Amino acid sequence: MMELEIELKKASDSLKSWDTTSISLTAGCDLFMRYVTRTSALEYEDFNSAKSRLIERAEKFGEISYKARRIIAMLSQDFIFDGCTILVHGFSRVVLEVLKTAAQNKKLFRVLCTEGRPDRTGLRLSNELAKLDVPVKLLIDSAVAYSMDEIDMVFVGADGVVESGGIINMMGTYQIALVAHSMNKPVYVAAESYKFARLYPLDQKDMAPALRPIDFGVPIPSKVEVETSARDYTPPQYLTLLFTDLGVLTPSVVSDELIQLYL
Amino acid sequence: MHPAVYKVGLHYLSGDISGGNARCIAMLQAFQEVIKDYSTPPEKTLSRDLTAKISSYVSFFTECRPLSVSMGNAIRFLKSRIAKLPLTMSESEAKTTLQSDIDHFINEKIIVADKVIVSHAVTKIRDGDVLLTYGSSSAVEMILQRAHELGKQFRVVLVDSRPKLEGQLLLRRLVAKGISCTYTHINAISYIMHEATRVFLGASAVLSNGTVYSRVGTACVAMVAHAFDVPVLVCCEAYKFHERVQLDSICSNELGDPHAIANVPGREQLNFLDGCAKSDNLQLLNLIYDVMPSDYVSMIITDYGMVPPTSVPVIVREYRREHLWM
Repeated sequence: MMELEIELKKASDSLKSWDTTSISLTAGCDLFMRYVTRTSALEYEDFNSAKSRLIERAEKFGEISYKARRIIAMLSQDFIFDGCTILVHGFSRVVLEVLKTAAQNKKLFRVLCTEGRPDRTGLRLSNELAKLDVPVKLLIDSAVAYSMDEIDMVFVGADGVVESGGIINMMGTYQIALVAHSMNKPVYVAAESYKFARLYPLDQKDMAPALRPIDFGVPIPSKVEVETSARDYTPPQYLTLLFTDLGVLTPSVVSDELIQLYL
Repeated sequence: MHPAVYKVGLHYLSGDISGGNARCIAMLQAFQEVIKDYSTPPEKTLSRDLTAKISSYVSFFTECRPLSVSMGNAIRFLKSRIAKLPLTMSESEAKTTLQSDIDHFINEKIIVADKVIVSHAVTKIRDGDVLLTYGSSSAVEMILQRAHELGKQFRVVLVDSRPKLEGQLLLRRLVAKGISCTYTHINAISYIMHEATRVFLGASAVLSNGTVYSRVGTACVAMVAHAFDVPVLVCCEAYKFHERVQLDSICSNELGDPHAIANVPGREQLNFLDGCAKSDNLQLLNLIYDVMPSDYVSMIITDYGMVPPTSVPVIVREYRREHLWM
């Protein structure tokens, strides 16, 4: 049984090493390990029954993760009312699922998409939404505060949800959350529960760096530095609610869930 | 009155032993001596008689100095262990079990807990940091020493206050280790806070709503840190968590010696309040503890990891359950 745990750990580590910057991958692997090994099946004398119990729990974990997006989409339907305007930042498949389900339920709403430079996530998202016949408007990233008056709510996904209840997401999320908070607009985060990570950043620089090159279109003189970080940290006080497969949670519940799992 | 208990009580009275962990360990070690020398009187059961004896010693300690939350939790633990002893156990067996339980408690809840706290906390210290701390906390001292051993480049700002001036002993030890320190009093806190990148504070207790109960002046430091957007990290072992909720510093506190604030030792010409102390409309208020609301705390570092202040009731709930299973 110990051998099996060691094998699992090795497999998890090699999977994590493929992309060391991805928080959801690390968090997912860690949670999977905890979930699977945290069972009294390990005390069973019979190796085969213990193994089948582990496989059962592993499959259940996989099932929960697959279904997570459907559950989140269902839970968020109550929050999208007819005639509302939603601001979306970044390309999150969970948020796309939420909006797809709302469109299928014949809700009338419009979406404002930030351009999402330099990844151009806004263009991809607006393509998808146009296919669903949802009215979409593209904004440049700097036009968020300008348009915040007409927005009813902000919807973002998350790369990782940290212990404090804050989120790590694409660069620009913190800015949007700050503007929304100062203008009293709710910020909703749609994230699966396997993204809960045991990290606790105290400020923007307190995370593992994830850099990606930015193409400005024109050559930059070599003496000029460029901020290339791909993501930022949004503290929990700027987030209103988290839609997860565990339910609709307030940011403070993330730590409770992690404590119960890790204790 | 057992001599070990008497000795520890006098240490509390004189202030030789101070600080939540030190007081708790001294008390538990005194109780170990008591248990070692204990023999059940005839016609009495060990558990009831020993519990009564412990209670009488606890009231003696309370006379010397009111109990801290850490001591209160340790006493609850000891009493529950005594109550759980099976009646069929022989006296010598019971005594050795209790003594090893106390050893186990001290080791697991204080010594190992401190090691875990230090290992978590040093990950939050980066090169070039300016760490601010207040007064003298055993956990914070261990963190600073460990970070220095690991070769991290940082400097310390130590804020102190009258009348106890507890920071001075900590200052000596840090300087002796080669850590560069700045020493100041709490009246300069708003001046010095803009230099600090992290604030590390100790706690006497953490209450159920995330409120931190610690040495008077800590709340001030945390409030100024919050105003300057400096993260406040409170380091506290989990055995100091308590279910009660306190909204302000007055409803439950400890009063120190009023003359300590009226007089400045060694400066006779500044003792303007001589003779006024007896006046009816003057009350000299020397509070020992104060209460810091959870909004000022960025994270609490415990042996269960780094948690936000909103997760304290979860730990209290889980920790008590583990307690019952022990």
